[in-house]
Amino acid sequence: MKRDPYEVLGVSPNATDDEVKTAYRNLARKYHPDNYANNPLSDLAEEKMQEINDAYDAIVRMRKGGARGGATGGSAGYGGHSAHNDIRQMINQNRISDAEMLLDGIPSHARDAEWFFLKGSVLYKKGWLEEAYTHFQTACRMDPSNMEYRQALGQMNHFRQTGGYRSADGRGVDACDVCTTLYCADCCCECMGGDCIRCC
Amino acid sequence: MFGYVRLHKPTITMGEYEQYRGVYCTLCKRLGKRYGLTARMTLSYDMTFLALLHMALEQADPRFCPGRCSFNPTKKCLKCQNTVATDLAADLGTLLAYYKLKDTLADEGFFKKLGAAMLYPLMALSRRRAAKRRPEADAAIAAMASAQAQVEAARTDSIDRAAEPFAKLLAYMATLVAQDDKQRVILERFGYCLGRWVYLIDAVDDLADDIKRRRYNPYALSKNLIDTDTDAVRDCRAYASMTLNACLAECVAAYNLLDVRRFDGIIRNILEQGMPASQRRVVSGEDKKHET
Repeated sequence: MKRDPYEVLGVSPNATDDEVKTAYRNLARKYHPDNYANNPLSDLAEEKMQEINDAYDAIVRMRKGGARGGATGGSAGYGGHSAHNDIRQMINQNRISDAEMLLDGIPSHARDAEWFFLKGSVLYKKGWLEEAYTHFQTACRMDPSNMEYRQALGQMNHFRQTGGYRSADGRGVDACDVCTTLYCADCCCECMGGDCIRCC
Repeated sequence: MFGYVRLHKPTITMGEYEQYRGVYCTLCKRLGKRYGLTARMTLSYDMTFLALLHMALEQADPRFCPGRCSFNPTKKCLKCQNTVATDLAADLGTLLAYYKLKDTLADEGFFKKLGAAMLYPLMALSRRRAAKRRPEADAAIAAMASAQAQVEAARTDSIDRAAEPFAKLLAYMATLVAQDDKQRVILERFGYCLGRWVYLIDAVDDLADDIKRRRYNPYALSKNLIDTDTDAVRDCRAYASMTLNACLAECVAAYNLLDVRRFDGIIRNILEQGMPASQRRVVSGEDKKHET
């Protein structure tokens, strides 16, 4: 069962194109994969993002009468080459305690940057946010050029600074800030082949 | 019990405020009905929040109707006729209050102990009744209490480990209000992070006191604080603020995935404004404990 695209975006069918776009952008900001990196709920967020993207596409299609791009993926999740592929897979499947056991079995002299990143991801999923944070820091220190680690740390830093809410008295993040960050992130995403936010 | 999960009055609409009061009053009434007058004293914002969240997800309508406050009959308020959510919150709140009281008996000062000792028999009675209705919840809270005692006895300096028992308890409680499996997964994460936030903000609130009386405090231990009123304490508060922000951001992220049927405005007011306001107040260390 497919929900009405206008209902998904929370706008009335009479809304102007700009209103639709604004609603879409706000939702995309809320459910952006970056907000759910390492989160055990990331698959649900991805579903939601997909629903929003589809709704926006559908509306644009209806209004323009023309065809508009096909499906694009959300976040790619963990991938790539690594010495710990089996552990990554477990983390992706939310098999947290299994992954943690394997990680803890790796002797301390063999723990590389990726180990710290993966251990950090496990801790993050468990909700042990402080130790997750220090592990991400260590991973970034050991391999400063790795985008994956830096993104994880950057997302945590963002949450720690702002609390993830938009404060009433203007002490939180300002909307511009989020947009630019998101725009940058999306550009990165786009050059990697994905596109989370369709309108920019 | 804690009172940090509260509304932000300046920005809530009148209608939403009335509804919130309605849930609060209904909870109070159900506490009285199920556990008697003393149990009404355990009424808290935290349990009101749980009831609110439950109603937000429930299919059945809360069915508000006009009523009067039983403590102040001149005051009008709304009452919910559907009491599934408030009954659960009343049971859980009573159980929690009992264990909190036991905790006070174990480690607070003489006068607090005296007060707790006087209340104890009545609360024990209420708790027995609540435990009969919710044996699993009673067991979960008892497990939390003993895990918490272990953490404190071991004087762990890990904030994550210290917060774990209470976070897990709230994760369990939050899953009780889920209406389907998808919600259960989301609420487990939501409850965990909420419980973690509550535990940690309480620890920050008690920081100065705990240092003075040499009581267990995860922040004091992790930062090796021995004296109050030093730069180290100020730094620790700034650090604590970031740890709290991280929990709160996770709560909001999880909540965003829930499709609530009603009360979204109220819940967001609490999560995005009320809780940050509590946090600012506690972190600034201005006035200890809550004004009303």
